[in-house]
Amino acid sequence: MTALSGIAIRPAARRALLAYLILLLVYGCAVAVNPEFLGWATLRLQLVQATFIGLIAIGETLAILIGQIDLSVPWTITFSAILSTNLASVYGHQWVAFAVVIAIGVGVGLLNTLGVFVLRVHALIWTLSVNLLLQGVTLVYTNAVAPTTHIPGAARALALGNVGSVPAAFLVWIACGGAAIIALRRMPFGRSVHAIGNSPATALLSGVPVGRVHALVFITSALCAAFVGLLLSGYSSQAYLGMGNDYLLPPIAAVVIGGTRLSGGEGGYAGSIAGALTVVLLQAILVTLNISEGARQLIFGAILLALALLFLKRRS
Amino acid sequence: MKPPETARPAAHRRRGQLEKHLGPVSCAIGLAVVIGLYALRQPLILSPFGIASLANVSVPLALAAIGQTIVLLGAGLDLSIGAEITLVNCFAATTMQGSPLGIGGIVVLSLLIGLGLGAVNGLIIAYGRVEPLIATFCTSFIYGGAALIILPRPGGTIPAGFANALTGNWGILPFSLVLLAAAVLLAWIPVFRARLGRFIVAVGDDAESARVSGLPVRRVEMISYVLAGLFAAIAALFLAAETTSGDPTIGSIYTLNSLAAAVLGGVALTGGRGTVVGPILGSFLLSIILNALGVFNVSAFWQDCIEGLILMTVLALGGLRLLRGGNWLTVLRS
Amino acid sequence: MPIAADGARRADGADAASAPTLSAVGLSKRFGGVVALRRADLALYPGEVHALLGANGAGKSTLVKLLAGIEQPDEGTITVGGTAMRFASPHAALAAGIATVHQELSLFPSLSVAENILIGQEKLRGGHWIDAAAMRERARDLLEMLGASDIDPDATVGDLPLAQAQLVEIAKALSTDPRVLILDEPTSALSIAEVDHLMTVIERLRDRGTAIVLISHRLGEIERLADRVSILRSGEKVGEFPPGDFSRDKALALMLGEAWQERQGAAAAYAGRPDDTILRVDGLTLAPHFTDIGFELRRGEVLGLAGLEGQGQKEFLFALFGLFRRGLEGIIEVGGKALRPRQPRDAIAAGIAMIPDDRKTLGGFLGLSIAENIAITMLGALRRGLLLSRRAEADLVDEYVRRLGIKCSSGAAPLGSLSGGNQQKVVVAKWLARRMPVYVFCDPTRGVDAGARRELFGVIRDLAAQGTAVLFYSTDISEFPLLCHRVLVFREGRVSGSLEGAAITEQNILDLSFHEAAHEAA
Repeated sequence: MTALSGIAIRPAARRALLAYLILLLVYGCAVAVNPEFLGWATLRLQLVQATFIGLIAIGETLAILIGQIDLSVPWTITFSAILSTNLASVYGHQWVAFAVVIAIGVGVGLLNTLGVFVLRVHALIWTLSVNLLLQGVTLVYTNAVAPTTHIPGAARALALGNVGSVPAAFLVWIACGGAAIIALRRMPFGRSVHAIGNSPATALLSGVPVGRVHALVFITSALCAAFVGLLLSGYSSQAYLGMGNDYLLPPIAAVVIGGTRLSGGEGGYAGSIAGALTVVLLQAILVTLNISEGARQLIFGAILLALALLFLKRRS
Repeated sequence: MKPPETARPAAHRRRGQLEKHLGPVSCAIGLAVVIGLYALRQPLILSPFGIASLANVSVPLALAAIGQTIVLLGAGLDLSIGAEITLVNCFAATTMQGSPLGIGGIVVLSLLIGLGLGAVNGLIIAYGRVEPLIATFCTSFIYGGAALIILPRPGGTIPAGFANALTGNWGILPFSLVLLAAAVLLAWIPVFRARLGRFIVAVGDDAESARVSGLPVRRVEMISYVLAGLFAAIAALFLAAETTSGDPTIGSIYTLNSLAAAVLGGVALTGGRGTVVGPILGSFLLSIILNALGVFNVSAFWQDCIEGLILMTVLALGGLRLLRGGNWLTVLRS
Repeated sequence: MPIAADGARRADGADAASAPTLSAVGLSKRFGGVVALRRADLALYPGEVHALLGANGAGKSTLVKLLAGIEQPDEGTITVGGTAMRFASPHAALAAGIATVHQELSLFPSLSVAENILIGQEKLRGGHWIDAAAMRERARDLLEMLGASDIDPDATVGDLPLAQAQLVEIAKALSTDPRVLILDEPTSALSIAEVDHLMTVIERLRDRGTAIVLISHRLGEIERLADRVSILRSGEKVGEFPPGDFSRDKALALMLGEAWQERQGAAAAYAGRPDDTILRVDGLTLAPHFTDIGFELRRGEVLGLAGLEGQGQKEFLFALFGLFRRGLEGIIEVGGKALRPRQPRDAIAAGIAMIPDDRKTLGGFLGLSIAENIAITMLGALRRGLLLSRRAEADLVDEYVRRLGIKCSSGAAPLGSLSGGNQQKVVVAKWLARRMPVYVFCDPTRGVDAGARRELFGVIRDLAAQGTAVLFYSTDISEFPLLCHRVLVFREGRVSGSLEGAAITEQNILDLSFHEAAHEAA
């Protein structure tokens, strides 16, 4: 019975397609504003920027799909960048940095799960508090003195290197993004994620391991942020306070532009890829047009609000 | 209101009464202990100057916390309070010096802007039916962005006369406390000793009961955000006086701290329960703890860490109360 | 008792004293595709108590909601004091002098008794300030009138026992000095003495000229108080007893419908072994929802849980399925092994499947495809290596779509695009695939059309025939005789009686569901 075997989620695919159309449109605008966007040199730069946002968007897509959100990203990035590069220099081995990234990912993810799932504090407030705590921890750790760092060669290679003329970072993104798409579409985990986002109570009654899925999602999200922290330190050859501050809103905007519903349950990572590229191009256009930092923030906030008014489940 | 939840055995009654005052009372005790320890290390803190400085660091948070409390009482939440403070602060700092409207004119305009920002939140939430958290999260970026446009980096000037009028002291009585008292007397009391305040609490306590009882639920929700905006504006003006300049990041810390102070002071995140005294005491406790760190040779870098920990502990305690309920479905729907 | 008023008499009639205070003509209300009320007429006369009687889902609550302005009618008119009204909100109904005591109390637990009673009617000083003393006085007067002067006007309502909260709700309704007072099961939580006093109060209000609507499932109260009784069944008003003409037997017959005796397709007799127990429950208690529930369920048996709505049946099933994390006392054994369910996964692991009543929020994932809905309980079995096998999933989905006759374009269609009956079949299918030893059906036919209902019953009978044990709860009592081998009737959180085989009739279930009827049976 071939008629019944089509299991792909059609409406989500349609929304993802829309995200790619938006991307094309924005790219058109970018070219109109500055023809250099036609050149590979400029595009390469944008691809690397999009990689950072896109990697974070993996975790954020998962979090939003289960009806939550992760706002602890900015200081997870900074904390991870500083701690991993510093410990790498202390122990004189670059792989220490990667171990630190994993430890931070698991630790922050479990902390977020504790507040959001176990204690039922709203994810927006709890993860924002965790962000504040991580900011404090980072400040205490550094004592506001720039710590000695050792940027791992591997991180530098991943962030700055090329394979042919393609940035290595972009290939990392393709690999991770592909894994995320497969996990969401073809693995039991992905099914559980969609189920919880669609109706947490039904998921509970259907025997979905709701707690385990929450933990996996928040750990993935923190891991992505921690890894991006290390990549960013490789990219700019330094780790500094506040380096993650620009990564709160853009990944969320990328996810929502990518067609994932802010209220959860519907969407996927394929759209977020287009969303990340769109956001980066938008930022580039705004910079080219000499739009100030404040106006950029305002525009992103307004876009998000408009999307919320358009797509969000309303209160009764 | 569901009947089974009403059927609380009589034995629980006393605990209910205790819980009502638990927040304010424990804040008051905590405050006495903290000030006592502080005074032992640094006796000057009990001088008129010391008292004024403690009051000055605490009053902006107290004002923000009152605004947050009004929204919380109505079972809402305002994540844009910090950004509202920032925006009004930047507006005042860039316009007050040498304005043709005079200082008074700018003050009035600032308060009106606060009311307007709150009204935007209220419209989106009460009439747009967007979740308060999402709505105010979005507007916080819009307001914060607007502040950055007005004042991209710290600067602007506040006339010394205005600054002194708010931050000075009169014997042991700091002007900042007078301002706080005036704000409570002129904005809180007239609302909460009247029908409107009763309606806010009722809507927060049980929105469905409020609708069935014929209360204007949407209008009440809307007004609670407008009032929060007003208190944010007062806090912003005071901060401008205190720093004699504007700063496009000055408000960000007040969003979460106002929430922490309110919850510390016994305001329920689920709405309907809370006082004005509790959040004020909570704000003083929080501000003075952070201010006292230096005296106890704790590096100022611990500040964010401690704020984060206090906030998470307070939120976790609220969550534990919910867990006691024990029904998975109500837990999942909360 | 007032003189019988002719039902046909109009407001413009000769006798002004007996013109109706409120008359509703042709009220209809549809929720989605379900007709909740069809062309109902109601005339309320001053100084008269008008009782509404009907089984679950008969339309009583809908009628009350329309009169109270909580819902707006699709058709029909409401006339108050000769003026046609349209209540756009509860506020409008209150302003027109219609006050309602809601079954789901409309109180504010954090506010005081006085604040609750006078919400929206606050006593003010200087046109602005709330006058706490005057409010306390007024609240005390109202409570005194109800004989509840032991309730402190300053107490917090959340701290009151349910019976006192119910009296506060009544005082709140009286505070507006209404012309029409609607009482929706006002006595369900009250003790006999309190009920007695409340009835005196109702009589006093009636004598003062208030028009009163009374909904109660206690026939004794209705016999004592009601001047006029309207019977509703399946959203229609099927009869009205004029004053002095009420008869219990006729009322029950009207509530059940004419054809109730001839209903066909009764359940087959239990064919399994009498000692083949799969689920044993003993002394199960969860305050305040249910007390001391005990039974043994055998393989191949369909056990019904009947009774009026809200008597603890649903909470019992939810508790059995692990939805209450604490407070559960007593024994549950599945297949001889003790079960202490703290989350649904515990109950599922022990072999219990649950089809809940609310498809939208509990049963199905409306935004996910039919295939994803059915496969959600089978993710482990469908996994090959790391990935889900599309082939195995498609086979599984095809099998159950065919077996249950689910009408859909393809397994990829979102569940939300199906009709209610087909949605429910998908919810059932997701558990059939797991082949559990015990199935719990919690009001599975709510909002389901007749055809789908018949098919659903076929599924349940098949399950039983294959040796599966079924617990079945429904708000529609006509379903129990068709399906169940045995029925437990719940009343106020306890089992008030058990029926078996031919004794499972709607009449017997209703008898055990209504207070006095049960006493007579005893």
